[in-house]
Amino acid sequence: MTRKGMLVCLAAAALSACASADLEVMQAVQPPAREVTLTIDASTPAVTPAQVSQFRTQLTSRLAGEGVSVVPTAGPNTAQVHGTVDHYDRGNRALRYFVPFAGEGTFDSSWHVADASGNEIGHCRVHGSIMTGAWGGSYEDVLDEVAKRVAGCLLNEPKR
Amino acid sequence: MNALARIGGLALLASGGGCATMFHGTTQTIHFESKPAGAKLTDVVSGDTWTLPAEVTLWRRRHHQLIAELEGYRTEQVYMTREMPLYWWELDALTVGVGAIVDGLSGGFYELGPDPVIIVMEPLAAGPAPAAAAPTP
Repeated sequence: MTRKGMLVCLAAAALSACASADLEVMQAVQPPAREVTLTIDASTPAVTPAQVSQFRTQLTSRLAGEGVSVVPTAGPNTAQVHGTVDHYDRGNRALRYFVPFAGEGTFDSSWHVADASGNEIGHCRVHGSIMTGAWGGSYEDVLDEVAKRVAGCLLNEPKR
Repeated sequence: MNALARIGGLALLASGGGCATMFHGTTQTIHFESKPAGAKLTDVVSGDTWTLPAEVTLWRRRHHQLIAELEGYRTEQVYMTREMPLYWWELDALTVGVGAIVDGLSGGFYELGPDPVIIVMEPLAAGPAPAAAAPTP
């Protein structure tokens, strides 16, 4: 790659949000869950209850935009979603800014979906990461990407 | 003629400066709602409060950390993210960077999210209340 090409690539990386998330479907959610209750736990001490709460609100808002309604109490057709944060590492934003592709932030989670009677109807894992972005890229962008993939899991639309 | 061209060029730069600031302003109005309704939303930094549902106007240039409280429910945290859409950079590039400086200072080119914000309150019996400390942005 020419020097000019490298500069263009670096500028593009600096200006774009480079957070991403991958969905791994262990058991496809059937039927798709459009109304859910949502509980999120953390299996890692790296994430605080406040951060879990923050992620829960971000996820709830994103799911609403994707057509999945989170309700406070279960009805007869409400699926129960239980998420576990397995790995939460915000990385180092300053390092990401000065050295693109260093200081990576990562987020791993697993999602179990049960029907109203408690029988498991689906299971997914979502892996998120950020390696660069505007001024190093915000870790919250990772959570937003994760939320989109969780919506894909619940609606059984992995390509969403 | 040269002087006129220079003045014209400067006027063009000035008029194009801060495209995002001119087009959508320095604040953004976001719909917040809680389930159940009636939660009190507080901006941790400014101390402003609202009763949900509400249309909340926030400065684009700031990160916003908010908490939602309702008696009998866990306190929920809300963190508004800021994004800079690439098209504002492209428009500001037409002003040879002047627009980017204006938009950067005013915060005009930020888009806050999520929008709308839906906060589902968890009954206290469901688990321990989260710590009130603000997470790292």
